[in-house]
Amino acid sequence: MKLVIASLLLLLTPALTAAQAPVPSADALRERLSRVENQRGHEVAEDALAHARRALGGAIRAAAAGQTVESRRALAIAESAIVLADRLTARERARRALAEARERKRAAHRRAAAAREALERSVERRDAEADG
Amino acid sequence: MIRASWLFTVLLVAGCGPGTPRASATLRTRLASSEATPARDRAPDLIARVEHALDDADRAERAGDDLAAADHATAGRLLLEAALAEAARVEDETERTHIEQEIATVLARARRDEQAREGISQVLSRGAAIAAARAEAQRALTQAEEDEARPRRRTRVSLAEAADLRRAAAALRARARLSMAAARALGAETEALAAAATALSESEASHDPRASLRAADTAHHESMRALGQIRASADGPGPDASAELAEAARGEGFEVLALAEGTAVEADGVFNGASSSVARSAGHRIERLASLIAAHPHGPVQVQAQVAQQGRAGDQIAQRRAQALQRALVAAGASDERLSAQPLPVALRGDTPLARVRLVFVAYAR
Repeated sequence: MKLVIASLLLLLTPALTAAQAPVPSADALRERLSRVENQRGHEVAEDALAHARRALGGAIRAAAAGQTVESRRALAIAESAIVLADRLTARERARRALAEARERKRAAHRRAAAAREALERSVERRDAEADG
Repeated sequence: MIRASWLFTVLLVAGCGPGTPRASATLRTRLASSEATPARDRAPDLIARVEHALDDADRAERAGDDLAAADHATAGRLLLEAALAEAARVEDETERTHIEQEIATVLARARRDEQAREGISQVLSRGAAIAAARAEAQRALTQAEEDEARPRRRTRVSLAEAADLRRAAAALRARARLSMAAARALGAETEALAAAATALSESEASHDPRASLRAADTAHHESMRALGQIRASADGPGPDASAELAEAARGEGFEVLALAEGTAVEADGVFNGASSSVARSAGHRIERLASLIAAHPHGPVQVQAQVAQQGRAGDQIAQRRAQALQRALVAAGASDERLSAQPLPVALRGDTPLARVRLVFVAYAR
């Protein structure tokens, strides 16, 4: 008997843990979704955002139909899609900042080259005036 | 007991499932590939969630719930994509940080070069301004000396000459205005600048280019005297005073030497031949020297002379010349109390004796 109970615990504990993993509520997810939609660069995450919206709608419908388990799974998908949208948006901002930094680096090198050239011309002119 | 063993076996088989789970297989392959290596380092929290979702998918598949397995796998796929995006973001941020550091270094170098160039440009501009001022002052001096030597010279001048004279007058007026502005900035009263202002107006109003130049020259000297008066209220020369004296002297057409004893201003053309009397044509030169003394009012000024003749006789002539120049400077408005006359010290004469006169501004040492 003890062996049976141990076997059941062995099988059911991960399942129970997974089932009890915290899933944010639909309201909380809707708020997070809205925040991502208002972030700069969210355009690149439109697919992920659409996925999140669909999953969120499915979760609400499932909950209304009393399908609690299905609703929790749909909320988990919506949450994952929002995480993806958030990271894609952040990545897009980083990509733009990187492109801007590269451009500023080119401008800085151009300015440095111009400054060095002007300095060398000034030194030549000064030396020429000193010589003659 | 047999029943219990049988039940355990059944549950174990049910728990392990029928074989390799299908829903998570592709994702697990991606997760193990090099594609996910950066994400493991840079987004370990998301990777942990991916693994957790795949475990859930496997369990659901083993339990025969394909729909749940597919849902968990979907969540895992989305989270894996998020982990990859996060890794790429961190990589971009790292590169951007390096670029920002490089930009800072490059810009600092550019700024150093720009400042160095600016410094050289200022020196060159000052050199050019001094050269221009010197040329204009020389032009005015030449004109004045010509007038002095031949007071009844022709009164008409050519158009080209008139243009030269007007340009020289305009340059001297500009310098006079600058000196007047400096004197005002130091607190000079309007009365102290009255003589310079009057000469300035005369120069501007005059239609005769020679008269205009003479008046401009007077305005320049008067403004320098006024500046000297107001400078005299300070305790001593400022840190840039010796450099300013050197520039002013060069602008007047004199040679300048930086000696340990002070700043020395050398003038030529003051004496003719072996004479111990000041040359008749040197009046304007002496006036300029007197203005220079007045504009730099601190400390004694040694009037030194040297002649080509060596020995005691040469020293006597040099002494007489120094005294004659001192008297001429006092007559031109320099303060007698500040002046002393002497032959050029032996140590400063050099190997080849030269005829020269020199004013040493003792308080203006670099």
